[in-house]
Amino acid sequence: MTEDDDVMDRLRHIATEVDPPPADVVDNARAALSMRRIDEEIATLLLDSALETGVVRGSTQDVRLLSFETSSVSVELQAEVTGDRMSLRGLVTGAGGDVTIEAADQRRTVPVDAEGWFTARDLPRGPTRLRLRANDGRAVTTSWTLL
Amino acid sequence: MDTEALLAAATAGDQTAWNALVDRYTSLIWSIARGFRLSSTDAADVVQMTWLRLVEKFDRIVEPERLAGWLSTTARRECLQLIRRAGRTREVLGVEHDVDVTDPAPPVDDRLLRDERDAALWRVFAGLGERCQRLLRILMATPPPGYGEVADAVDMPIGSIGPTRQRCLNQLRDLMLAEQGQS
Repeated sequence: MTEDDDVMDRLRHIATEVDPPPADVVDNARAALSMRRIDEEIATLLLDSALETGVVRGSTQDVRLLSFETSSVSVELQAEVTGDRMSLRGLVTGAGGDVTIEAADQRRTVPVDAEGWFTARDLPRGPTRLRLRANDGRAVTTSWTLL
Repeated sequence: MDTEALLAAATAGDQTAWNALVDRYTSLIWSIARGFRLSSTDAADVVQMTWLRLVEKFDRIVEPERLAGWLSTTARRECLQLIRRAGRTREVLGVEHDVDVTDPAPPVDDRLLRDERDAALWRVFAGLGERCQRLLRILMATPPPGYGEVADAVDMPIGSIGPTRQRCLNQLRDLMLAEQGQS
């Protein structure tokens, strides 16, 4: 074994001791398999204001605009972040029904009003997706986004 | 079981096969996120996003034998997006200088290390340049990653991983000698 391999092994040993993936990270990764949605239409992310250049942000409060779309349905989403919590306000075009917000290990279902709006407050931040269950029985799921 | 077989079984809904994949590669993804100096909260989000993306794209993994590379590339993109979203706009890759303007993760507590030599090595590691820290931190994953997935994680040609690793370990050794000279 070369001297380099020796040092690398020591570093790996140290990292395993002081900075391993936390147990809850592994548990959540294992649980990710149950999040699979088979045969549902995925609304892909078209626009994310946080990835555009030149967007002015407040220092403590951050409003992020996202837009998801399938061929028939679109969702405009406004995420307002305060600390480690956030509020969502969205506009659905092309379908009515209700929206389920999946964030961390919790789900919350809110109705879409007659104009297409929905609101959900005090949600945890982290990987999030929305599932629209339309009145006509269709279901559309957005891709996962880190909010 | 090899990765391809595990992926095929997991895609068919086999939780045991999925757990085996998670156990095999979570350390790599975590190491990539920590290599980008993300806090443990942000690193946890990157790990979870990476696994969720795999579940989302099960049917579109065209080269199952390259799953580790796919996970590494996905993790790197999630890290870069997170850094960019946080308003840290500097291009963190591809620039040769090592000026550190990202928010460094809080230093890992070396008091956990009972071996004084290990504690000294870990302190010296924190003094390396950003690029060397990133590469070496990723190489510290368990099990040791292949150079192919490391190349995907840092977006460098595979042929330059070996020489860069050597250069970084030489720097580490120099820093170590300098510290020993001082004490």
